[in-house]
Amino acid sequence: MARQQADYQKMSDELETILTELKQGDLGVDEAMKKYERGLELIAALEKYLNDAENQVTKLKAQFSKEEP
Amino acid sequence: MANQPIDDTVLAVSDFVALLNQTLEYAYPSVVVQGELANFRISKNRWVYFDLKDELASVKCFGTVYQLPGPLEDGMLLQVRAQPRLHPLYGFSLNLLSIRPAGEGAIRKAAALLEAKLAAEGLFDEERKRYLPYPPARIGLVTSGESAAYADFIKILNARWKGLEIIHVDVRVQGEVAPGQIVAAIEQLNGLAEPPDVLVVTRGGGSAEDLQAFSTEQVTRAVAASRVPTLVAIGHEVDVSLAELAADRRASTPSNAAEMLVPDRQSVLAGLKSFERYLSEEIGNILEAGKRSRREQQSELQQTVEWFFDSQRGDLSAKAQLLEVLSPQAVLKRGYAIVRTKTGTVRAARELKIDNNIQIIFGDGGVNAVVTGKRSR
Repeated sequence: MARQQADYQKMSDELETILTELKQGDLGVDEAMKKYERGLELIAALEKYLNDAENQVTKLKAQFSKEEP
Repeated sequence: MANQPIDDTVLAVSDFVALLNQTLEYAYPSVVVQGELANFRISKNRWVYFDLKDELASVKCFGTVYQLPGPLEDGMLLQVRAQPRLHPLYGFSLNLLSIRPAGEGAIRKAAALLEAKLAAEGLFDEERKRYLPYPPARIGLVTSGESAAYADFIKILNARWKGLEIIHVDVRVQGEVAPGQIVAAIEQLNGLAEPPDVLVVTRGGGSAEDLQAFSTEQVTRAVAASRVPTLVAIGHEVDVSLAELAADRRASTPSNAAEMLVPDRQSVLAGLKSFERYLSEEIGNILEAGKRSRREQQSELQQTVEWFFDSQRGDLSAKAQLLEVLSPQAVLKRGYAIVRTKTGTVRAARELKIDNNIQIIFGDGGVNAVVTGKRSR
Protein backbone atom coordinates (compact mmCIF):
# COMPACT_ATOMS: atom_id res chain seq x y z
CA MET A 1 0.00 0.00 0.00
CA ALA A 2 2.73 2.39 0.94
CA ARG A 3 4.48 1.52 -2.22
CA GLN A 4 1.34 2.30 -4.22
CA GLN A 5 1.13 5.65 -2.52
CA ALA A 6 4.79 6.30 -3.21
CA ASP A 7 4.14 5.44 -6.85
CA TYR A 8 1.21 7.81 -6.83
CA GLN A 9 3.44 10.58 -5.61
CA LYS A 10 6.07 9.79 -8.21
CA MET A 11 3.55 9.70 -11.03
CA SER A 12 1.97 12.90 -9.82
CA ASP A 13 5.37 14.61 -9.79
CA GLU A 14 6.18 13.29 -13.25
CA LEU A 15 2.90 14.62 -14.61
CA GLU A 16 3.67 17.99 -13.11
CA THR A 17 7.06 17.99 -14.83
CA ILE A 18 5.54 17.06 -18.17
CA LEU A 19 3.01 19.88 -17.93
CA THR A 20 5.77 22.34 -17.18
CA GLU A 21 7.90 21.10 -20.06
CA LEU A 22 5.03 21.31 -22.49
CA LYS A 23 4.16 24.78 -21.26
CA GLN A 24 7.70 26.01 -21.85
CA GLY A 25 7.24 24.90 -25.43
CA ASP A 26 10.86 24.35 -26.39
CA LEU A 27 10.34 20.68 -27.10
CA GLY A 28 10.45 19.31 -30.62
CA VAL A 29 7.15 18.00 -31.96
CA ASP A 30 8.20 14.36 -31.64
CA GLU A 31 9.42 14.87 -28.12
CA ALA A 32 6.27 16.80 -27.20
CA MET A 33 4.12 14.05 -28.65
CA LYS A 34 5.93 11.47 -26.52
CA LYS A 35 5.48 13.59 -23.41
CA TYR A 36 1.82 14.06 -24.18
CA GLU A 37 1.25 10.33 -24.51
CA ARG A 38 3.14 9.72 -21.27
CA GLY A 39 1.01 12.41 -19.62
CA LEU A 40 -2.20 10.65 -20.67
CA GLU A 41 -0.82 7.36 -19.37
CA LEU A 42 -0.01 8.98 -16.05
CA ILE A 43 -3.44 10.54 -15.75
CA ALA A 44 -5.08 7.19 -16.44
CA ALA A 45 -2.88 5.49 -13.85
CA LEU A 46 -3.56 8.19 -11.25
CA GLU A 47 -7.30 7.94 -11.86
CA LYS A 48 -7.11 4.18 -11.55
CA TYR A 49 -5.28 4.57 -8.26
CA LEU A 50 -7.83 7.02 -6.89
CA ASN A 51 -10.67 4.72 -7.87
CA ASP A 52 -9.31 1.27 -7.16
CA ALA A 53 -6.71 1.40 -4.39
CA GLU A 54 -7.73 0.31 -0.90
CA ASN A 55 -6.83 1.58 2.54
CA GLN A 56 -5.42 -0.97 4.87
CA VAL A 57 -5.45 -0.90 8.65
CA THR A 58 -2.81 -2.88 10.51
CA LYS A 59 -3.27 -3.42 14.22
CA LEU A 60 0.04 -3.10 15.96
CA LYS A 61 0.28 -5.19 19.08
CA ALA A 62 0.85 -2.70 21.86
CA GLN A 63 4.11 -3.06 23.71
CA PHE A 64 2.77 -1.97 27.08
CA SER A 65 1.27 -4.21 29.73
CA LYS A 66 -2.47 -3.75 29.76
CA GLU A 67 -2.79 -3.44 33.48
CA GLU A 68 -6.20 -2.35 34.56
CA PRO A 69 -6.46 0.35 37.19
CA MET B 1 -2.18 -13.92 58.77
CA ALA B 2 -5.11 -11.82 59.89
CA ASN B 3 -6.25 -14.74 62.01
CA GLN B 4 -2.91 -15.20 63.65
CA PRO B 5 -3.23 -14.61 67.41
CA ILE B 6 -1.03 -11.70 68.34
CA ASP B 7 -2.32 -10.74 71.79
CA ASP B 8 0.36 -12.53 73.77
CA THR B 9 3.17 -12.35 71.33
CA VAL B 10 5.82 -9.78 72.06
CA LEU B 11 7.01 -8.14 68.90
CA ALA B 12 10.13 -6.19 68.22
CA VAL B 13 9.29 -2.75 66.80
CA SER B 14 10.66 -3.59 63.37
CA ASP B 15 8.74 -6.87 63.40
CA PHE B 16 5.58 -4.96 64.27
CA VAL B 17 6.17 -2.57 61.39
CA ALA B 18 6.79 -5.47 59.03
CA LEU B 19 3.67 -7.26 60.26
CA LEU B 20 1.54 -4.17 59.89
CA ASN B 21 2.85 -3.55 56.41
CA GLN B 22 2.08 -7.14 55.44
CA THR B 23 -1.40 -6.69 56.74
CA LEU B 24 -1.86 -3.41 54.91
CA GLU B 25 -0.55 -4.90 51.70
CA TYR B 26 -2.99 -7.77 52.03
CA ALA B 27 -5.96 -5.61 52.92
CA TYR B 28 -5.19 -2.66 50.63
CA PRO B 29 -2.94 -3.53 47.72
CA SER B 30 -3.72 0.01 46.64
CA VAL B 31 -6.19 2.70 47.53
CA VAL B 32 -7.46 5.74 45.69
CA VAL B 33 -7.72 8.79 47.88
CA GLN B 34 -8.90 12.23 46.94
CA GLY B 35 -8.05 15.34 48.87
CA GLU B 36 -6.57 18.79 48.86
CA LEU B 37 -2.86 19.17 48.39
CA ALA B 38 -0.85 20.78 51.19
CA ASN B 39 2.81 21.18 52.13
CA PHE B 40 3.98 20.13 48.70
CA ARG B 41 7.74 19.86 48.43
CA ILE B 42 10.32 18.16 46.27
CA SER B 43 13.57 16.89 47.76
CA LYS B 44 16.82 16.41 45.86
CA ASN B 45 14.91 16.79 42.59
CA ARG B 46 13.69 13.28 43.06
CA TRP B 47 11.42 12.74 46.07
CA VAL B 48 7.99 14.23 46.44
CA TYR B 49 6.33 14.84 49.77
CA PHE B 50 2.94 16.32 50.47
CA ASP B 51 -0.12 16.02 52.63
CA LEU B 52 -3.52 15.14 51.34
CA LYS B 53 -6.25 16.56 53.50
CA ASP B 54 -9.89 17.38 53.89
CA GLU B 55 -11.73 19.23 56.67
CA LEU B 56 -11.20 16.46 59.18
CA ALA B 57 -8.08 14.54 58.32
CA SER B 58 -4.65 14.71 56.76
CA VAL B 59 -2.32 11.95 55.54
CA LYS B 60 1.29 12.14 54.42
CA CYS B 61 2.09 11.10 50.88
CA PHE B 62 5.42 10.07 49.43
CA GLY B 63 6.45 9.48 45.84
CA THR B 64 8.91 10.36 43.08
CA VAL B 65 8.89 13.26 40.67
CA TYR B 66 8.30 10.81 37.81
CA GLN B 67 4.77 10.30 39.11
CA LEU B 68 3.87 13.98 38.98
CA PRO B 69 1.36 14.86 36.26
CA GLY B 70 3.03 18.27 36.05
CA PRO B 71 3.68 21.14 38.42
CA LEU B 72 1.37 21.17 41.42
CA GLU B 73 0.36 23.85 43.84
CA ASP B 74 -0.97 23.69 47.36
CA GLY B 75 -4.75 23.87 47.46
CA MET B 76 -5.29 21.76 44.33
CA LEU B 77 -7.67 18.84 44.55
CA LEU B 78 -5.76 15.61 43.83
CA GLN B 79 -6.70 12.01 43.35
CA VAL B 80 -3.88 9.63 44.17
CA ARG B 81 -3.50 5.91 43.85
CA ALA B 82 -1.20 4.70 46.57
CA GLN B 83 -0.11 1.88 48.84
CA PRO B 84 -0.61 2.62 52.54
CA ARG B 85 2.65 1.96 54.37
CA LEU B 86 4.18 2.39 57.79
CA HIS B 87 7.72 3.60 57.45
CA PRO B 88 10.08 2.17 60.09
CA LEU B 89 11.32 5.64 60.99
CA TYR B 90 9.00 8.28 59.60
CA GLY B 91 5.62 6.81 60.32
CA PHE B 92 2.56 6.33 58.20
CA SER B 93 2.36 7.48 54.60
CA LEU B 94 0.67 6.79 51.33
CA ASN B 95 3.34 5.57 48.89
CA LEU B 96 2.19 7.08 45.64
CA LEU B 97 1.59 5.05 42.49
CA SER B 98 -0.03 7.84 40.50
CA ILE B 99 -1.21 11.38 40.98
CA ARG B 100 -3.74 13.30 39.02
CA PRO B 101 -5.60 16.52 39.54
CA ALA B 102 -9.28 16.00 40.31
CA GLY B 103 -12.19 18.25 39.48
CA GLU B 104 -12.39 20.95 36.81
CA GLY B 105 -10.72 23.61 38.92
CA ALA B 106 -7.68 21.54 39.83
CA ILE B 107 -7.37 20.15 36.32
CA ARG B 108 -7.36 23.63 34.84
CA LYS B 109 -4.97 24.89 37.43
CA ALA B 110 -2.63 21.95 36.89
CA ALA B 111 -2.81 22.35 33.13
CA ALA B 112 -2.07 26.07 33.41
CA LEU B 113 0.96 25.44 35.57
CA LEU B 114 2.24 22.69 33.29
CA GLU B 115 1.58 24.77 30.22
CA ALA B 116 3.64 27.63 31.63
CA LYS B 117 6.47 25.28 32.48
CA LEU B 118 6.55 23.51 29.11
CA ALA B 119 6.09 26.77 27.23
CA ALA B 120 9.13 28.13 29.04
CA GLU B 121 11.05 25.09 27.82
CA GLY B 122 10.00 25.90 24.26
CA LEU B 123 7.92 22.77 23.66
CA PHE B 124 5.14 24.78 22.01
CA ASP B 125 7.34 27.07 19.92
CA GLU B 126 6.18 27.73 16.38
CA GLU B 127 9.63 27.14 14.95
CA ARG B 128 9.54 23.56 16.19
CA LYS B 129 6.53 22.81 13.99
CA ARG B 130 7.17 20.58 11.03
CA TYR B 131 5.16 20.12 7.87
CA LEU B 132 3.12 16.98 7.55
CA PRO B 133 3.62 15.01 4.33
CA TYR B 134 0.59 15.55 2.11
CA PRO B 135 -0.78 13.02 1.54
CA PRO B 136 1.14 10.64 3.77
CA ALA B 137 1.46 7.00 2.71
CA ARG B 138 1.64 5.46 6.16
CA ILE B 139 -0.23 6.81 9.14
CA GLY B 140 0.49 5.82 12.73
CA LEU B 141 -2.74 6.04 14.69
CA VAL B 142 -2.90 6.22 18.46
CA THR B 143 -6.45 6.01 19.78
CA SER B 144 -8.94 3.63 21.30
CA GLY B 145 -10.04 1.04 18.75
CA GLU B 146 -13.55 0.97 20.10
CA SER B 147 -14.06 4.72 20.06
CA ALA B 148 -16.18 6.84 17.77
CA ALA B 149 -12.99 8.80 17.17
CA TYR B 150 -11.41 5.76 15.55
CA ALA B 151 -14.48 5.02 13.45
CA ASP B 152 -14.85 8.65 12.31
CA PHE B 153 -11.19 9.02 11.46
CA ILE B 154 -11.10 5.83 9.37
CA LYS B 155 -14.42 6.62 7.71
CA ILE B 156 -13.31 10.05 6.54
CA LEU B 157 -9.93 8.74 5.42
CA ASN B 158 -11.59 6.00 3.37
CA ALA B 159 -13.95 8.47 1.78
CA ARG B 160 -11.20 10.89 0.84
CA TRP B 161 -8.12 8.96 -0.13
CA LYS B 162 -6.89 5.56 -1.26
CA GLY B 163 -3.89 3.34 -0.84
CA LEU B 164 -3.14 4.43 2.70
CA GLU B 165 -1.58 2.18 5.27
CA ILE B 166 -2.82 2.86 8.78
CA ILE B 167 -0.88 1.38 11.66
CA HIS B 168 -3.10 1.46 14.68
CA VAL B 169 -2.04 1.07 18.28
CA ASP B 170 -5.05 0.53 20.48
CA VAL B 171 -4.74 2.53 23.71
CA ARG B 172 -6.94 3.65 26.56
CA VAL B 173 -7.61 7.34 26.09
CA GLN B 174 -8.84 8.08 29.56
CA GLY B 175 -8.23 6.87 33.06
CA GLU B 176 -5.09 6.25 34.95
CA VAL B 177 -3.34 3.97 32.46
CA ALA B 178 -4.06 6.22 29.49
CA PRO B 179 -0.98 8.48 29.67
CA GLY B 180 1.42 5.56 29.99
CA GLN B 181 -0.20 3.68 27.11
CA ILE B 182 -0.32 6.73 24.86
CA VAL B 183 3.36 7.46 25.52
CA ALA B 184 4.29 3.82 24.89
CA ALA B 185 2.31 3.81 21.63
CA ILE B 186 3.98 7.01 20.40
CA GLU B 187 7.39 5.58 21.22
CA GLN B 188 6.54 2.23 19.66
CA LEU B 189 5.49 3.83 16.38
CA ASN B 190 8.59 6.00 16.38
CA GLY B 191 10.72 2.94 16.97
CA LEU B 192 9.41 0.91 14.04
CA ALA B 193 12.02 -0.20 11.52
CA GLU B 194 9.92 1.69 8.99
CA PRO B 195 8.22 4.44 11.00
CA PRO B 196 4.99 5.94 9.64
CA ASP B 197 5.07 9.25 7.74
CA VAL B 198 2.81 10.91 10.24
CA LEU B 199 1.52 10.15 13.71
CA VAL B 200 -2.07 10.87 14.64
CA VAL B 201 -3.12 10.96 18.28
CA THR B 202 -6.83 11.46 18.66
CA ARG B 203 -9.93 11.00 20.75
CA GLY B 204 -13.42 12.45 20.78
CA GLY B 205 -14.70 15.11 23.11
CA GLY B 206 -15.35 14.67 26.79
CA SER B 207 -15.13 16.39 30.10
CA ALA B 208 -11.92 18.07 31.19
CA GLU B 209 -11.36 15.04 33.34
CA ASP B 210 -11.82 12.62 30.42
CA LEU B 211 -9.30 14.53 28.36
CA GLN B 212 -6.75 14.83 31.11
CA ALA B 213 -4.36 12.26 29.71
CA PHE B 214 -3.64 14.58 26.76
CA SER B 215 -2.56 17.37 29.03
CA THR B 216 -0.21 15.31 31.14
CA GLU B 217 3.45 16.13 31.07
CA GLN B 218 4.48 12.68 29.87
CA VAL B 219 2.09 12.62 26.89
CA THR B 220 2.90 16.22 25.99
CA ARG B 221 6.63 15.48 26.09
CA ALA B 222 6.20 12.28 24.08
CA VAL B 223 4.34 14.22 21.37
CA ALA B 224 6.99 16.93 21.36
CA ALA B 225 9.77 14.33 21.20
CA SER B 226 8.25 12.32 18.33
CA ARG B 227 10.63 12.10 15.39
CA VAL B 228 7.64 11.38 13.20
CA PRO B 229 5.61 14.57 12.56
CA THR B 230 2.50 14.66 14.71
CA LEU B 231 -1.14 15.61 14.29
CA VAL B 232 -3.09 15.67 17.53
CA ALA B 233 -6.85 16.05 17.53
CA ILE B 234 -8.62 15.93 20.84
CA GLY B 235 -12.24 16.61 20.19
CA HIS B 236 -13.04 19.40 22.48
CA GLU B 237 -13.96 22.79 21.18
CA VAL B 238 -13.22 24.92 24.21
CA ASP B 239 -9.91 23.84 25.63
CA VAL B 240 -6.82 22.86 23.76
CA SER B 241 -4.88 20.03 25.34
CA LEU B 242 -1.17 20.47 25.92
CA ALA B 243 -0.45 17.54 23.62
CA GLU B 244 -2.15 19.52 20.86
CA LEU B 245 0.01 22.54 21.61
CA ALA B 246 3.10 20.36 21.38
CA ALA B 247 1.99 18.70 18.13
CA ASP B 248 3.20 19.84 14.73
CA ARG B 249 -0.44 20.35 13.80
CA ARG B 250 -3.71 20.10 15.59
CA ALA B 251 -7.20 19.40 14.37
CA SER B 252 -10.46 20.07 16.16
CA THR B 253 -11.96 16.57 15.84
CA PRO B 254 -10.93 13.12 14.61
CA SER B 255 -12.83 13.73 11.35
CA ASN B 256 -11.14 17.08 10.95
CA ALA B 257 -7.78 15.33 11.42
CA ALA B 258 -8.56 12.97 8.54
CA GLU B 259 -9.60 15.91 6.36
CA MET B 260 -6.39 17.72 7.13
CA LEU B 261 -4.25 14.70 6.44
CA VAL B 262 -5.29 13.78 2.90
CA PRO B 263 -6.83 15.57 -0.07
CA ASP B 264 -10.32 14.75 -1.26
CA ARG B 265 -9.88 12.37 -4.17
CA GLN B 266 -13.00 13.70 -5.91
CA SER B 267 -11.42 17.10 -6.29
CA VAL B 268 -8.11 15.50 -7.28
CA LEU B 269 -9.95 13.47 -9.92
CA ALA B 270 -11.55 16.67 -11.19
CA GLY B 271 -8.09 18.22 -11.21
CA LEU B 272 -6.78 15.32 -13.29
CA LYS B 273 -9.57 15.88 -15.81
CA SER B 274 -8.58 19.49 -16.20
CA PHE B 275 -4.93 18.41 -16.42
CA GLU B 276 -5.96 16.18 -19.26
CA ARG B 277 -7.73 19.01 -21.05
CA TYR B 278 -4.77 21.26 -20.50
CA LEU B 279 -2.40 18.60 -21.77
CA SER B 280 -4.47 18.15 -24.93
CA GLU B 281 -4.62 21.89 -25.53
CA GLU B 282 -0.93 22.19 -24.99
CA ILE B 283 -0.07 19.37 -27.38
CA GLY B 284 -2.56 20.84 -29.86
CA ASN B 285 -0.74 24.15 -29.73
CA ILE B 286 2.61 22.47 -30.13
CA LEU B 287 1.46 20.39 -33.08
CA GLU B 288 -0.12 23.46 -34.70
CA ALA B 289 3.08 25.40 -34.19
CA GLY B 290 5.00 22.44 -35.52
CA LYS B 291 2.82 22.18 -38.60
CA ARG B 292 3.12 25.89 -39.24
CA SER B 293 6.83 25.81 -38.89
CA ARG B 294 7.07 22.71 -41.04
CA ARG B 295 5.07 24.50 -43.73
CA GLU B 296 7.37 27.45 -43.33
CA GLN B 297 10.41 25.24 -43.42
CA GLN B 298 9.13 23.49 -46.49
CA SER B 299 8.42 26.63 -48.40
CA GLU B 300 11.72 28.05 -47.29
CA LEU B 301 13.46 24.93 -48.48
CA GLN B 302 11.63 25.09 -51.77
CA GLN B 303 12.59 28.69 -52.26
CA THR B 304 16.17 27.86 -51.55
CA VAL B 305 16.14 25.03 -53.99
CA GLU B 306 14.48 27.10 -56.62
CA TRP B 307 16.86 29.92 -56.08
CA PHE B 308 19.72 27.49 -56.26
CA PHE B 309 18.50 26.02 -59.47
CA ASP B 310 17.62 29.43 -60.85
CA SER B 311 21.07 30.66 -60.08
CA GLN B 312 22.54 27.47 -61.41
CA ARG B 313 20.43 27.78 -64.53
CA GLY B 314 21.40 31.38 -65.01
CA ASP B 315 24.97 30.53 -64.50
CA LEU B 316 24.79 27.63 -66.86
CA SER B 317 23.17 29.55 -69.66
CA ALA B 318 25.72 32.28 -69.24
CA LYS B 319 28.46 29.76 -69.48
CA ALA B 320 26.73 28.05 -72.34
CA GLN B 321 26.47 31.35 -74.12
CA LEU B 322 30.07 32.10 -73.49
CA LEU B 323 30.96 28.67 -74.72
CA GLU B 324 28.83 29.25 -77.73
CA VAL B 325 30.45 32.59 -78.38
CA LEU B 326 33.86 31.14 -77.93
CA SER B 327 33.12 28.13 -80.07
CA PRO B 328 34.88 28.29 -83.47
CA GLN B 329 31.79 26.82 -84.96
CA ALA B 330 29.93 29.95 -84.02
CA VAL B 331 32.52 32.08 -85.70
CA LEU B 332 32.27 30.01 -88.81
CA LYS B 333 28.52 30.48 -88.74
CA ARG B 334 29.06 34.19 -88.92
CA GLY B 335 30.80 33.68 -92.29
CA TYR B 336 34.38 33.20 -91.26
CA ALA B 337 36.37 30.17 -92.44
CA ILE B 338 39.33 28.27 -91.17
CA VAL B 339 42.23 27.42 -93.40
CA ARG B 340 44.17 24.34 -92.54
CA THR B 341 47.10 22.49 -94.10
CA LYS B 342 48.40 19.10 -93.15
CA THR B 343 50.48 20.69 -90.45
CA GLY B 344 47.66 22.63 -88.83
CA THR B 345 45.63 25.77 -88.86
CA VAL B 346 46.98 28.52 -91.06
CA ARG B 347 47.08 31.79 -89.17
CA ALA B 348 48.89 33.96 -91.77
CA ALA B 349 49.15 34.25 -95.58
CA ARG B 350 52.91 34.04 -95.43
CA GLU B 351 52.63 30.46 -94.14
CA LEU B 352 51.38 29.42 -97.57
CA LYS B 353 53.05 29.13 -100.91
CA ILE B 354 51.75 28.79 -104.49
CA ASP B 355 50.51 25.23 -105.20
CA ASN B 356 50.08 24.38 -101.50
CA ASN B 357 47.10 22.15 -100.92
CA ILE B 358 44.78 23.63 -98.34
CA GLN B 359 41.51 22.81 -96.69
CA ILE B 360 38.97 25.54 -96.14
CA ILE B 361 36.46 24.83 -93.36
CA PHE B 362 33.15 26.68 -93.36
CA GLY B 363 30.31 26.48 -90.88
CA ASP B 364 28.54 23.84 -92.90
CA GLY B 365 31.49 21.84 -94.17
CA GLY B 366 34.82 22.10 -95.92
CA VAL B 367 36.44 22.25 -99.36
CA ASN B 368 39.87 21.35 -100.63
CA ALA B 369 41.72 24.03 -102.65
CA VAL B 370 45.11 24.92 -104.14
CA VAL B 371 46.89 28.23 -103.64
CA THR B 372 47.08 29.83 -107.08
CA GLY B 373 48.41 33.25 -106.21
CA LYS B 374 49.43 35.48 -103.29
CA ARG B 375 48.68 39.14 -102.45
CA SER B 376 49.86 41.36 -99.80
CA ARG B 377 47.21 43.25 -97.81
